Amino acid sequence: MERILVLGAGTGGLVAANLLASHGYPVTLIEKRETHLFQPGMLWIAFQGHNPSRYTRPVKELIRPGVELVHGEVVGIDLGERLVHLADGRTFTYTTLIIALGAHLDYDSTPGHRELVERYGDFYSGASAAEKMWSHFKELTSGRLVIAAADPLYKCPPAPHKAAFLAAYTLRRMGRLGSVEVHLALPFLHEYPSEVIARIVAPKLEEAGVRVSTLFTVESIDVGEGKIYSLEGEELDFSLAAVIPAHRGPTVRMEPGEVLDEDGFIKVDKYRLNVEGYDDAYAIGDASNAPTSKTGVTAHLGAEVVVDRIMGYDSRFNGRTNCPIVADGTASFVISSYDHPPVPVKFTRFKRMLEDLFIASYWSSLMYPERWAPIFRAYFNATDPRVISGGW
Amino acid sequence: MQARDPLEMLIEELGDPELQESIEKMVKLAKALNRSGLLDVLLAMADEEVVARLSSMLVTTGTMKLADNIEELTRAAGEVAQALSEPVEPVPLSELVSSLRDPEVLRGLARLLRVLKALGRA
Repeated sequence: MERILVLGAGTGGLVAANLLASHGYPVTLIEKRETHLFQPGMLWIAFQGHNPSRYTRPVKELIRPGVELVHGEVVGIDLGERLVHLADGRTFTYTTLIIALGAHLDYDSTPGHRELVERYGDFYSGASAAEKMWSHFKELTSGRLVIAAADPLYKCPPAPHKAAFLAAYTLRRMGRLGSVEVHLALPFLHEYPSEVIARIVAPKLEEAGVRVSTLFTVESIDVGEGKIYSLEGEELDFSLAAVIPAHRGPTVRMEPGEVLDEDGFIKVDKYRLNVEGYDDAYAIGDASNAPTSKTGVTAHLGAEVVVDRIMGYDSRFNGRTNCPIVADGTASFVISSYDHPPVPVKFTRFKRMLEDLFIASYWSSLMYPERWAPIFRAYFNATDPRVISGGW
Repeated sequence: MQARDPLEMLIEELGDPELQESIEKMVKLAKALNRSGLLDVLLAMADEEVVARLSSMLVTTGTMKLADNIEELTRAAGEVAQALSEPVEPVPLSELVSSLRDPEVLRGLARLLRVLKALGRA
């Protein structure tokens, strides 16, 4: 009997499971958490004091009839035997598998990092960590807030920039931007991995009063002394700091181990998204090694491609990104695909409104992806990087 | 702890005067929309294929660029409207030539050339 297993109820997993259910497929969704978190919301919780309830919903309220929800932690996947093992000893078989387990945040490979996140929270590891960051940030009256990264590969490439913008605007409203410095330390040559985007973001950061250091990859953190040291040999003092952790593939035992790359991400065919060497198993979103940004948009679009393929269509994933960079009242998007580098997209108020609309449609698009598909398709076609290569 | 019966929770909610007032207004709105025939139109439009056709027509590269520049366009249109409302006399050729020294006129001409180029491309 056909049984599709979806592992993980993040953006990709929920879209895949709900889409399959809408087409009448029997789906089992396995998730260890009770609640789903809209991850970009952590930025607003941490630096603007938003209530976490705006960004979290119980997983069971986000699934359609036809999706069987299983609460449990996946600890092992045997692709050859078509088995999935849970921490409590249960085992599931499948005819088709969709792995959407996200990335593992590695707080232990950078000395001092775990102590830092336990003391101050951050805007990556969950809503309560973001609340903790806010509780410290709102009390900051002088000194330096450092936003940095331990590795150039992390989900949502513009997240540190958004954090710096939001923090700077909040400090300005509080009248403290003069006495508190917002310092963005990036592990890149420019203000963004793509030079085209860097040229657009840099003046905006300057306008917001954000100081920037480039080529600064966090190597270790001395929480007691308030110092961050970089691989490149620099150091920064901080009063408060949020360091984006190194990202690794999901922490499950995988058989065969060869399907994982050196960082533990699942190797996939970048267009078809099937696990290398397997036609009955797919990996989407942050868990895969597809050479594109790790974001909710890529997870959503990847899920649509996989469901199409399960239904027998020769759908291909093109690696399209649409990462919003939100500044005060305006926004820009990092728009690229496998065959096109990011295009110059200027900050405008219209794009900020578009981003607000995307956020407003988030919960509905998880539950009813097929209803939103034509609208999103029209938007992605209209803003295809090949079409707007000259800029938008 | 046992989960509460959803029906029980709903009955409790219905005791809220604010909710009662909201429901009355919603019912009035629904009746008005139905009488005007708008509800039938909306129901017909809530079809997947109609949404797809509407989206592909309304969300295009052109409309995205237009909406993105709407502030500049309305500002320029406002200036033009203002200029149109002011009385003008026919301009003799000599004055026309000398007005070409005006930097605003030169900038306007440069923009006009760009617009002509864009029109030619379209």
